[in-house]
Amino acid sequence: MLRVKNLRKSYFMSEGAVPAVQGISFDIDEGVFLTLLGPSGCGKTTTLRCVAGLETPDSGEIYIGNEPVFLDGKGILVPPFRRGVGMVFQSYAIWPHMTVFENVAFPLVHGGFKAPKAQVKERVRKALELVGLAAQENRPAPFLSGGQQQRVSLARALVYEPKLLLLDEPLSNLDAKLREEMRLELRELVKRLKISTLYVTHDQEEALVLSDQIAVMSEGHILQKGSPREIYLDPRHPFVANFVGNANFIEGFVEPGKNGHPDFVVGTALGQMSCRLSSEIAKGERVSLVFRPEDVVIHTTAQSSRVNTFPGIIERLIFLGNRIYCEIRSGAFLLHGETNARTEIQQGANVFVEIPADYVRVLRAQ
Amino acid sequence: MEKVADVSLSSSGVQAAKSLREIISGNSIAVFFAWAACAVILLLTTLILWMSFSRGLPFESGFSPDNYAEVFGSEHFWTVVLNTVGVGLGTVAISIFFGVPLAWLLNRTDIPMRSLFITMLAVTVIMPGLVKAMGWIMLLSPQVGLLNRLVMGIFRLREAPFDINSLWGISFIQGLMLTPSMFFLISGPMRSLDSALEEAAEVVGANRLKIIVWITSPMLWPAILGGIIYIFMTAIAMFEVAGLLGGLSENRILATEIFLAVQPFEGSSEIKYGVAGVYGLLIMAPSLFALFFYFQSLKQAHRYAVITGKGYKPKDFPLGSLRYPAILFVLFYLALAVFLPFAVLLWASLLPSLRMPSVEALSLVSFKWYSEIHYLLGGFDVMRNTLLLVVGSSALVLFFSFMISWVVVRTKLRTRRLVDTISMLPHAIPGIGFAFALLIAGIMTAKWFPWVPFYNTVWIIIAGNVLNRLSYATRITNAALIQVQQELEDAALICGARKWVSMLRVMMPLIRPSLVFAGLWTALLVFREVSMALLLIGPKNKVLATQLWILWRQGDLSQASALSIVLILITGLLILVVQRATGKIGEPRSLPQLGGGG
Repeated sequence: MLRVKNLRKSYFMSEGAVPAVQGISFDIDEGVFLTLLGPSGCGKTTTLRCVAGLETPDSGEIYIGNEPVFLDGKGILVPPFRRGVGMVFQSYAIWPHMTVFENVAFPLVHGGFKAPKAQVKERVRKALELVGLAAQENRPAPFLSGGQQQRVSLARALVYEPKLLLLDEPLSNLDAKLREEMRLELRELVKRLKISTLYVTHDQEEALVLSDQIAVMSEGHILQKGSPREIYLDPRHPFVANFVGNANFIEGFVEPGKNGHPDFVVGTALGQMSCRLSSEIAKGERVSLVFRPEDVVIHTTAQSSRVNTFPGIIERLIFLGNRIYCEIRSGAFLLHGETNARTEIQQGANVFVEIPADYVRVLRAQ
Repeated sequence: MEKVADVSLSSSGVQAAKSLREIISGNSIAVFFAWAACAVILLLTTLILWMSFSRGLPFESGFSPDNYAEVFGSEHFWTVVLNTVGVGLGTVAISIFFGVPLAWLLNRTDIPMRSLFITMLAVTVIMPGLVKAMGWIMLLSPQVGLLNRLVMGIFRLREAPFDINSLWGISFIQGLMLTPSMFFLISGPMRSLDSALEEAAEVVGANRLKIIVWITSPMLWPAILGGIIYIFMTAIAMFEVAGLLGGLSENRILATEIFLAVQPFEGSSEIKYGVAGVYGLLIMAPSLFALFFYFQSLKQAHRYAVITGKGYKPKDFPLGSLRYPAILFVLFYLALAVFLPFAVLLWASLLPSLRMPSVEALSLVSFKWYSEIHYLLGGFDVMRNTLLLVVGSSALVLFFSFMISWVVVRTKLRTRRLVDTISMLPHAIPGIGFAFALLIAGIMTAKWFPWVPFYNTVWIIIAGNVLNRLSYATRITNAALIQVQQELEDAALICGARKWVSMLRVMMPLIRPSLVFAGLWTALLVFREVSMALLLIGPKNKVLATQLWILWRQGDLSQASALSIVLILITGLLILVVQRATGKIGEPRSLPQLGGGG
């Protein structure tokens, strides 16, 4: 439904050209929800605006459906009002001088999706019903709450039934509780309409909840693209591991295994750790080991027989309600772990941490 | 569900080759008109320069320095220059004398009825400079001035103690006119000054006077300097007061010399366009120079402006028992600027001829002149011209300033800075300079393209007013458009609206209040504008303001007074409309140029 190839875009500031997007490529298949996830300034919004036609890329190709909307080589550049995409803006961009109805009807009345008068009313009502605002039709837009404006914005983007929906951090201006609600609602809606969606956010949780696929971006590049599960459980890049969820990083060298271990082990500041190595990593190579705090098992008693188990001292405990977050010092290494909220441990206690070999990702050191 | 989108997408594919041009064409309407306006500004400016080197019309005679020789060699030259500088400085002095204390009193003290006074200051615009001058002539002329006669009667003097027909008189009236400008120019900085800075001085033991002298004044100096430069520029380009008071031949200043050179029916024998060009340049040069300094001082002002963050509220200076003299001071200014001239005009308009109030005079009071108002207004043509002038100018000013602001604020074109700068030029070039250039353009049009209805039509006056008001209106539309978030416009494009649809349906309604304000304010200033109109009128394009001038010059003081009163009432009505429509009168932001219309 959407194909982006080698997209590049720089901004010209007084200090010169600042690259925002540095040659990224991705596809969205029919009905798929793809999220561009990354910190502010990573180029995700620029990418979205290029797809919408609000920014002109420096080079690359963009196809919506099978139609090219931007081809640098052939000088094709379809203006935004011809691209037929739906878009929800971060600020909602609800026109304050119009009522809810007028806002939603705009694309059908003044926009490029003109519909007969009789139909307009019906379609606006349907769109407002979709977002649960049918009763607010005649209210002036400024009298709406943030969440309601959000819904109007969504209704306006859906009323002309676009093939592709673009969402630019639509939830970031809502308060936490409302954000969670809207998140689920949005997910339901998009799944029901089977509409292909490009979503932009810096909120990893949002990305995990909503997406079929996530593309993690940093400094104008896509570092990894995959399902939420892949992104979280199998990060291929330290940045991805750290940006999506928390992670422990430890560096080391691949050494031959011992005591009948079939795999190689990695010598680290913690000690020797065994883990699953992919075939492309060779002996002697410098690697980064990545594991999640929630995968760390904290034992209060000695566990002599287990592998990847290291002694340590609890340096800090933070009670988070549903779990306890711990910082554990083991030798020179400070390790982050989590444990059940009902666990009885104290600061300064001696513990043993176990890092299950299956949960350790081995990345080539950058 | 994808039917609609399908149609639009497939059409985009077909026309894809055209579309690169199309995306530019979204802004191209704005770019076209913005540059059209800029081109006219530049062309007319060039024309003034050209004329100064030409003895006849452009293209008809070669370049020669003769005009300069004539101007600089004239026996009057240095008198004219010194007079002009004198009038400029005198005007500045009067406007500082009233404007600075007023700004302090009404912004930083606990003077009673503060907002009422501020509104009244803004509303002094109700009385055009021409009318004000007429009122003061009737008060202080050596021959008929009522105040002169009163003083002579009281002190048994043989000669009139005041002579309004002097450089002092010109400065006095122009100073009164421009005091509100000074007031509003320094009110902003005055208000944003952190009173903690004054309190700090109080804590270390400085008394009130010392605080004002050593703390408040120095910090406000950049704003006051900016005001001085602005007032000086406006003052030396103002024509109608000097024209009225000096009778064009006494008290000659640059602005009246231009007029003399091109309007021979007012005295001089031959039309000297080239000479007028030189005078025009002479007025422009210091203005351009001053504009540069004006911007510089504004930059400086930012450095000085000390505004603290949240919860900051300037502390009012307690006047105590001084508040009665303070109120008297404000009333004194209002009396001089509005009440006295208005009263004398009203009085004169009710009498067959001007005389001192007495029982006998009272018996002569009648509404005779008002019953002949149709004749005074100059008939249907003048009314129609005036209406066309006011409505046409406002509409065009709004249109062009919106287009210019669009280019400046809402595009990323590299030329937008240039457009911004050029659109500020009319601010520096006096209206009378543009009027002169338009006159030449008009004569050329009439000669070479007689079928173009421009010369001797109301459109030539409209053109002058549009150029003259463009800078100010552009400031307002710039500020308004900056405030509209980019995403509101983007959303319209995404909804399939073309650029001009989004301008018309989304952007213009969003900044409607500012547009209404700019439009009505322009209408008001255009309605009372007389300097440019006088240079551009012929038999067929008279307007109300010039009608008033003509009546006065014919010596019909009472009739002119009656017409003035009518003019004031119409202006008052317009102001009421502005106030109703926008509620903005009295806001310092909106009124930096009150007297600027002249």
